[in-house]
Amino acid sequence: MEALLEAAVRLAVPLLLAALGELIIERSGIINIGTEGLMLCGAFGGFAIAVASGSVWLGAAGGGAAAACVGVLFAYFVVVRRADQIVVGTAINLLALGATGLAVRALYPGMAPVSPTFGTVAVPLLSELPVIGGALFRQTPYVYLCLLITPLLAFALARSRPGLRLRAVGECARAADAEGVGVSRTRFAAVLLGSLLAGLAGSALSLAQSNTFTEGMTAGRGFIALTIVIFGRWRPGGIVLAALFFGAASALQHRLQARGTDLPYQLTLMLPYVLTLLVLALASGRSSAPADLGKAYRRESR
Amino acid sequence: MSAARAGAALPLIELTAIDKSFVPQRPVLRRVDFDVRPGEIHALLGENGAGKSTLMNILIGLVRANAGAIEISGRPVDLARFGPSAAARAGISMVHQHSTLVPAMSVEENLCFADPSGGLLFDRRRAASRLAELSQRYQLDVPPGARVEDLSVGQRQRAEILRALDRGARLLILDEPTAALTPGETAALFPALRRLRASGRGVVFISHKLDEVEALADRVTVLRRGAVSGTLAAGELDARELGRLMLGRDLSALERPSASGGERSSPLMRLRGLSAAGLGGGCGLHDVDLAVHRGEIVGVAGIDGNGQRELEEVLAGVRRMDSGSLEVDGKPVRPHVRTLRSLGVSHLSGDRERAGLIPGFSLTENWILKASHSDERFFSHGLLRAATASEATRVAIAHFDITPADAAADVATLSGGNAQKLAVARELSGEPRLLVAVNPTRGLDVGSTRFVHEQLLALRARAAAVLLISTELDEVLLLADRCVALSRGRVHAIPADADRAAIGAIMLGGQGA
Ligand SMILES: Nc1ncnc2c1ncn2[C@@H]1O[C@H](COP(=O)(O)OP(=O)(O)OP(=O)(O)O)[C@@H](O)[C@H]1O
Ligand SMILES: [Mg+2]
Repeated sequence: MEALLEAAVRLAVPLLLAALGELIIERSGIINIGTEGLMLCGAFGGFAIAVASGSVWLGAAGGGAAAACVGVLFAYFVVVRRADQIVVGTAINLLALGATGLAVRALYPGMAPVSPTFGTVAVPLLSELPVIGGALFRQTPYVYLCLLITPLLAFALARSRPGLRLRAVGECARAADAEGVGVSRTRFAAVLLGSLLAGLAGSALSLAQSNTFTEGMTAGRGFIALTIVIFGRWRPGGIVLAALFFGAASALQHRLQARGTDLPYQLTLMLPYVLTLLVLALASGRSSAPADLGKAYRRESR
Repeated sequence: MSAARAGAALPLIELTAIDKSFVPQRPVLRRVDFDVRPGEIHALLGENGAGKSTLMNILIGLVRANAGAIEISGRPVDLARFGPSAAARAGISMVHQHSTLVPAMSVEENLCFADPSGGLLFDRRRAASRLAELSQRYQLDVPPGARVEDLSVGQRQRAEILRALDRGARLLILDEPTAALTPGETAALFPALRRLRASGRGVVFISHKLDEVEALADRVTVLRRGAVSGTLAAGELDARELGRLMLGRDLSALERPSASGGERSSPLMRLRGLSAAGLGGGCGLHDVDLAVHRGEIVGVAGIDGNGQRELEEVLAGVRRMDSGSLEVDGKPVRPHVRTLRSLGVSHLSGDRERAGLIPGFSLTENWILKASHSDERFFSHGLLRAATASEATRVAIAHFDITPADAAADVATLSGGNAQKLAVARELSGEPRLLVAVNPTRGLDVGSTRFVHEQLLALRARAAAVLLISTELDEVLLLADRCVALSRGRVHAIPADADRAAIGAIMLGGQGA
């Protein structure tokens, strides 16, 4: 049980980081389906810099920075040029997949080397707690980052003026603009911050969950992060639960596979997705998507 | 700026020779000069689509002029870099004609998100007490803690006014602030505006109600088709003259043919014992009995928020009745949008921003929006007859004098009044047997108001029934054959000989009368 919980949290963390990043972006009214690509850039950037510098910390920072750079590109097209968000997001995904694949082969002919990795750090006392101690407090620094930024983000959205402005822009860009909130500026900042988190999420894959970079190693996690945002109803708390749910379902699926059941492995692989579909179908209520999500804003065209 | 000129006479803001067109060859403003001095209430008048809102949007930087200059306190403004936040920093704030509250946020959050004086954190409790204090001070009631999307039009308007007043601006622009206010609330707002004037601030006041303008304004500028047709000082105001400046012609009084009389047939529509739950802290409806006959206009007077929206929604078929029954032609009917439509019940929404028209759709698309696939006027075998539809729209545009006269234009680009005219025209075009009209002339200029009133009377003359739910008591008294008052969700009869004071008491007191 404890091992399962520990695995659930570990698997949930990259999803959670990416989903929180996507949350920030979507709350500003921009839909970024390029999360997968941003994570991939983060995974590769983190890996390459960790290998070159020998420091995991520099690697993680580099992963975040690499994704943020791509985020600037995304924001330029989407916020400044007001291009279609789905099209640009798709382009980012394809571009990232190709570029990182090319780069890894160009930089490391033959086989990609092994990078330094984050080990687990036990928090004194807390890690001795029953049941949750190991799952929450004997983990990699990524888990602690999540423990830090999730409540911070929840607080910022509900109780800070930058948070209010972010929500105002995503809910009703016209009203926000009329009241003097810079719509483009807010959206640009949101994309930048969100991409940074997606990049960190990617670096968790290459620097904590494995010790190397392989082509396309995100394996759809960016898209799962998009689902988690919807599933969590655009709220940090809901997103944590959704990410944990996914993490738990994946951990369970690993466990089932390791046990070797009679079920074809394709079926167990489907488990997290089937469970999500079920829960999504059962959960209902007031729609909570930001009202201006996906809509470009032009001042004078009403 | 020379020292000699820096005296009191220096305008707070001065716009010179402003030109604006959104679409080439279709000028909206032509060489408009406009200024506001400190300690002045400057009213801006003009027909629907004359360019009032556009001019004010240029003033706060939301719309950029094609040509012309703006000076704030004598200092020229760099138009290329001027925007709402620069305007806010210069002490200009505005109550927009169309709500600029964020629907998904609470009133308190809306009060704070753009407050330039606010700190980094949003303190919910402080915001709530500030809202309560503002409500109290200006006598404008806004339910605390409510999400804006749950508020009625009037409540939203009040929240918006409070937010603008709270900014303590040097120049306050109010674009039709009273369109959704009750006479009582309007009366409470005026002293507040006069206090602003007394403290040396400037106010721009836009309204289609001439009596308000006469009561308040020091100066009046009239726009007609995008050009200034005159600027008058308070002493020279005269309703006829203003009407002429606005319309370019005189407006005669409305002729109201007396009731069709004759024997009373059985009612076309009858509500018995209707009760429905309230919306967002609203009072709901309790045991409402109401009947409307053919050839009759029944007026439902009352202060906004007393059950109007619930009554409207039940009759539109989008709200469940908790108890009671609805009969049409003496037969019980389950209120459902389709059923009601097929029975000839038509609904003119009181909330065109949310329920009447779809911005982003063209005039034609909005025109056929409510026509069903089986409507042979616009559809044959389920396929749209595009040419017929746009032709019908063009006819309506001409008949109702809607600008721009372009059936393919986006509805979002219409001025408030022109959008309302389109909504009215659409409901009337289906030749309804019963029209449920909610505030049908909100935001219309005098000429268009007259026109819509004539249309309602013509409908009645064609033996259709009209249920007129209006917060405008004058409108109800002018048009209705029979009036009731809606007060805290209950209906009270208004005796035919009741005077305004008596009606006011019924509207307020309800059961007391
Ligand atoms: N963003 C826009 N795009 C295209 N046309 C516009 C736009 N904004 C306004 N217009 C046009 O400019 C004209 C003036 O509109 P405006 O809203 O200023 O009128 P108004 O005087 O405020 O009228 P009302 O009394 O009905 O509110 C209208 O014909 C309108 O269709
Ligand atoms: Mg207007």
